[in-house]
Formats: sequence, structure tokens, C-alpha cells
Amino acid sequence: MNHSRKLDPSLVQEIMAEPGGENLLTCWSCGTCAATCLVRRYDPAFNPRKILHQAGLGLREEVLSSAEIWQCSACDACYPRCPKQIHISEVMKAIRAVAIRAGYQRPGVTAHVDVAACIACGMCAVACPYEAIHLEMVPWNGTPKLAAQVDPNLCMACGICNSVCLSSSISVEGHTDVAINQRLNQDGAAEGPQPQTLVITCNWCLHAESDVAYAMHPPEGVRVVNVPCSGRVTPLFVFTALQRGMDGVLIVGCKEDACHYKHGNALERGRARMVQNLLDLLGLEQERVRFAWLGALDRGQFPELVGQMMRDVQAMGPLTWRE
Amino acid sequence: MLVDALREIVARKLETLDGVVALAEEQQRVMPRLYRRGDDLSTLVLGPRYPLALVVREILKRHPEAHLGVVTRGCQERALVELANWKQLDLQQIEVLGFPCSPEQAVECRCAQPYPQALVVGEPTPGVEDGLLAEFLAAKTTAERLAFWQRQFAKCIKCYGCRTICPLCFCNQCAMEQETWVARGRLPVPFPVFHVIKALHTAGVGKCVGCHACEDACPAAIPLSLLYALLRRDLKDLFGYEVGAQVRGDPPLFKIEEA
Repeated sequence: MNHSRKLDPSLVQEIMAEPGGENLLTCWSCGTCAATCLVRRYDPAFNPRKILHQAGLGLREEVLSSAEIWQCSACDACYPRCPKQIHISEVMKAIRAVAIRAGYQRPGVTAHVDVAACIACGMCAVACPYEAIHLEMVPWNGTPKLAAQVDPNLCMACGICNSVCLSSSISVEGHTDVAINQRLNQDGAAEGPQPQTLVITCNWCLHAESDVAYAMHPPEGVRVVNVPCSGRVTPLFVFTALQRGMDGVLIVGCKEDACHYKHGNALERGRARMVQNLLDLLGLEQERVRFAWLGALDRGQFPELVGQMMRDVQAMGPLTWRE
Repeated sequence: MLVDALREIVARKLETLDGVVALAEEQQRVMPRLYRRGDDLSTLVLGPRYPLALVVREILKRHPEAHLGVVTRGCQERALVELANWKQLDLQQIEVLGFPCSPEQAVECRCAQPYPQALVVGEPTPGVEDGLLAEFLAAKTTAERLAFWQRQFAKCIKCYGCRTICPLCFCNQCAMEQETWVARGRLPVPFPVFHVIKALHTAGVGKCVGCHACEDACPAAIPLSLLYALLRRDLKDLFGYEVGAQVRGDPPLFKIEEA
């Protein structure tokens, strides 16, 4: 392939002029980032090493028009492992900034605000790992109204905003309350001879193929539902599942400090504690709802994690309070 | 009399403020009222207990430049602080003209702080330990708690009074009315989601100031305040958050204090 006619050194200068882009040329293409990358586990087309290399060569069109520069979620799994200490997610951010200036946009769905319902409390803006949400005056019914607004180029569609919105006026298509609730409570979920266990797992913590296979075909009495991030799980999903027929709920997220969406798992851990406390106050066993980490080093451990939960739920027996 | 002293203070404050929100007794009814300069203050009263905080928010929405005094007791001062924390009003526009609750009221509400920080008349009333809360935790086994709440929630007629009166329920679109969570036209409401929404969306996220307005409004006498007080205690233990105590930075739930 002959790229020489497309090489554009000014791309390198532009990226390096952006905050975070200074270290672009420090990369020696060892590929450690690609080896640790969580995104790459799901989409082999994504390769941070390749993107940095192409950007360093000045392949303007290839880099700026590629869908891959938008895929890095800044989980920073690669950062501590990079021998050159390049903060790669920051370089990605710099590349995106150049792309946005050149007129490119993030492809795919982003969070959407229902302006009529939004009360501008700002919780979503605080919770967003990417500072993609701001409160702005927007035209609404002929008068300006203060409401949350999403920068589509910063949003990673994790849905954490939705999980903290009390009126559910911000949501991500495909992962709305209605959509997730349907997945959690599909017909037949509550039926069965034995206590039912619901497992809500984040998309990014099932590293091993054996884990994914198990999640797709769990044993009888277990239902596994994927969500973009454990931080998307509002307590109402958990209580609704218990009300409708589940006897135990296990929420699985990435390892501490290794959340694909920065802090979704930490948020969920706190919320799960509040859920457990409320269960206890209402007279239900706290252990019916659990939150567990599943880190990159725990690959292959998902069946054991679920199996333990299933055995504990069986020992507790079915919930007796449903009509 | 506290009320006489307060009427004098309000008259003086009205020389500089745009208005003062208080309760007024007119035609043998008590309702919230915005007093303006020159108004007859002999109708201003202190009771019964009423959650004024959302009224203040509504007035400020219509008069975004106004500076208002608010004649209020401790819980509603805390409610104003939480409304500010949830960006529903600006405390810079508000001057709290606080008065203490009577010792009897403090007992009725099982209130730990029955007086506002900005006390302009009277003395702080001693706080009351929530005996019901301690009793509930000490005396009831898990199975007894379940039976207790099932019995209590079964009394609910789904009037939404607890939600409507709550000074911290300010959403345009309420989860308690969304069919994703709550089926229409079912009584008794299935245990426990309906009541869990109210509990988590007020007390569970650090909004419930313990004003007991929900419990006063409930026609079925469900001890909602007890459940919310327990959650408020959990929030303090887990996240170190004291509802309504001060203007905060990040909301609770975002950081756990323990390792």
C-alpha cells in the first residue's frame, strides 16, 4: 500500500497542540495497549496502537473518518501498562477534538433528553463519566427552558445518566427503562419449579468466551441480562424483578477502578448497599440482592459466581410475599 | 407570643424584601400566602405544620428576580436547602425567618432538630429521639418487619397524597405514575415497588428532610416517616450525608466513606 501521498504532518501538529495529545509521538508501537484493551475484546477491529501509529504518520483521512477513534471509553486499563506512560485515552480525546473541528461526528446512538420532563436538577451532569451533559437554556414551547443537553461527540451511551434521573427524562435508545425492564421480566421469567435468580451483568466484564457462552445459555432457574454498565441498574429494576417473580438478583460489574465507563461500578456498589439496607428494613433477606466485581483476572469465573448466588437463593427459598 | 414577635420582624423585613411567604388564616382557613409591603399582618399564623418549601419554589419560578423572606420551621429550612442542592431554587434569593416548633410538635414528629439554623424568634427546642425507630429495629425480627410493612402498605388507597404534599417531590414526570413500574388500576398495590419508589426517590437519594407531611397527609395512616427515617440513617452511615444540613457538593451515593 502506498500511503505516502496522503501523509500530512500538520495532522500530527494539530493533535499535539490539543491538551492530552502532546505524547502522540512518544509511542513506540509495542501494542501493550491493544493487549489490555477492553473494547478490543468485543471488537477486534478496534486497535489503539494502530490508531496512534496512523495518527503519528499523519494519515489524516484514515484516522479522522474512522469509527474506531470514538470507541475508546477512557477506562484507562491501558494507561498504567504503557511502558512510555502515554495516557492513551487523552490522546484519543485529542484526535477526536481534531475530528470534530474537521466536521466529523460520533456515529451511533447517544443519550436523548425529554426536555418537557427534564427538571434541570443536574444529577445526570454530575453522574456522566464524560462531562457530556450540561444544563442549558433551550427553546421549548416558544419559551426558553433550562434543561440537560447532551454533547453527542462526548456521550458514550452508557446510560448512567438515566440511572440517576428520578423522572427518567434522559435515556439511551435500546437501554431505556422500558426496554431493560422487558428484558428483565420476559414472559416465563417467574415460572419454574425452583427459586429464580436474575443476573444483571455489565457488557464489559465477561472477558472469557466460556463466560459469554454461559451467559447465553444459563442453567435452569437463572436468567442473565446484559446492560451497558452496572451503573445503569437503578434500584427499581431490582425491586420490580423481585416483585414480579425473581427470588434473588445478582448485579455484576467490572473490578474496582477498572470500570469501562470510569465510575459506573462504584456508583452501583453504593446503590446496591442502599437496596440491601432497604430490603432489610422491609423484612427481606439482604443477601437476595448482591453486587459483585468481575475483573479481567477473574475471566472464566462467571459460572462460579452465578452458581454460588443460585445455591444461596435456593437455600433461602422462594420469596413468600408475592400474591 | 412567638407569632407577635414574628409579625413585627416580617413588617420590618418587608421594607427591604419583595415579599414574605408565610401561612395566613383568612376566612377560617389556613393557606400559604405571599405577604407584600403594607399588607395586614394580623392574619399571619405559624401553624398548622405545612411544607412551604415547594410554594417558595413556585413563586420564585414566576418571579426569578425576587428576594423573599420565608417564615418557616426547621424541617422546611432543610427542605429549602435540599431544593437548592437539587438546583430547584437559589438560596441567595431567600431569607429564612425561622421559628422553633413547640416541644409537643417535636414529639409528634419524633424530630431530632425541631428548629431552623436561622432562628429569629424563640429558643431552640430540644430534639426528640425517634423512639419508634429504635423500637422498630430492636423489637422486630425479619419476618415481623415483612408482616408489618405488608400490613401497612396494604392499607394504601393509592391517592398519591404522600407524593403531592412532599416538599421535595418536584419532578414533572413521576415514576410512581409510570406503567413501567406501577400497573394502573390495581388495589391493593403490589408489594413493594410502589412504596419503594417513594422511599428511594426521596429518602434514598438524600432528599427527605423528615417533615412528616406525607404521614400527616396519608388517609390510611401508613408510617412512611418511619421508613424514611431509617433510610436517612443508612445514608448517613454509608455516605456521611446529613440531609438539609448544608449546601453540598456531590450528591450522596457517589462516594462511599468506608473502604
